[in-house]
Amino acid sequence: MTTPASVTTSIPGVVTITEKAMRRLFSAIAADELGVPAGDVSARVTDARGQLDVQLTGPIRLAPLGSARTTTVLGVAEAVRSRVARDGERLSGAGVQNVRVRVTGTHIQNERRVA
Amino acid sequence: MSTESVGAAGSVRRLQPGLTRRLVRRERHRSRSTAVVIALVVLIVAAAYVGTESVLALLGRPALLQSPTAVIGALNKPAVWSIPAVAALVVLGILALVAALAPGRRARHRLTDDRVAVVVDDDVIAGSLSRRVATAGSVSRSHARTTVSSRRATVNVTPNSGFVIERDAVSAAAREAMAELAPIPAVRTRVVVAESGVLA
Repeated sequence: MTTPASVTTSIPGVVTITEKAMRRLFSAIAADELGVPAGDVSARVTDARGQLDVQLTGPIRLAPLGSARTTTVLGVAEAVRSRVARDGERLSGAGVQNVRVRVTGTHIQNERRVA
Repeated sequence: MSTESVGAAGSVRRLQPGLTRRLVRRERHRSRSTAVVIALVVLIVAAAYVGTESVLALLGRPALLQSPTAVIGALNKPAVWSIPAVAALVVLGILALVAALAPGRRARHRLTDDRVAVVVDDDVIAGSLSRRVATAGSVSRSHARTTVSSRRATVNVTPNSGFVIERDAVSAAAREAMAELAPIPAVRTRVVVAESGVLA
């Protein structure tokens, strides 16, 4: 008697994750961390000796000057790098070797006034 | 009322070993008949020509091209053209020797089977290996490429970027596939996993 698990593994065929899917995945993670719309962040995914090399380009969201929150561009970019590496590997299953972030602009987030 | 098939059901006529060996040899080696035909035709034409010239010379008639005495005279004192002519003859001789002595093997192998003599092109073995290695490495068929020679098969497999191919697993799959085919002569397998992958 065959168990369901062995049936699943014996099905012929192969799963292919396209480059486009990888790009979308990484740009979505980065956009979430940056706090900007997913369409604003573009990702390039290339091969680095069998692992993934991710290059992200997009704006960054910062708190306005004079606000209590202190966020630096570098701090946010580093947070993006580590989150993309961690969540990217977790969600795609692919090994990420390298994450590069290129900040091309800033979205200043005005703090909401309490009515 | 055939007497051949009399006996227990399922009894199988075995191949005659000698006949099988000869048939397989014929399939696995190139025929030399073309080379032999060409060589014999050249020999016949040359012999006919020499004979004709000799008879004409004996009868005192004018030669077709050169009389035998003139040819022997020219051979005794070498002229400018004799070096390239000799070189051409040497090349022809070497080609004839190679055609005669080289094994003339085709890219084919015999597969082990009890009932029939099976001879397959090496492409078939290569395709089978590629498929098994691709499945074992979880890559698409286009990522595995195999070259098969008489005694050795090399499978080149390219991983998908970010996903590691386990070398031992794919090597074992290749060896297993080869053991199932059991080609004669035996073929050793080698799997090479490419260092850099490609994105699908």
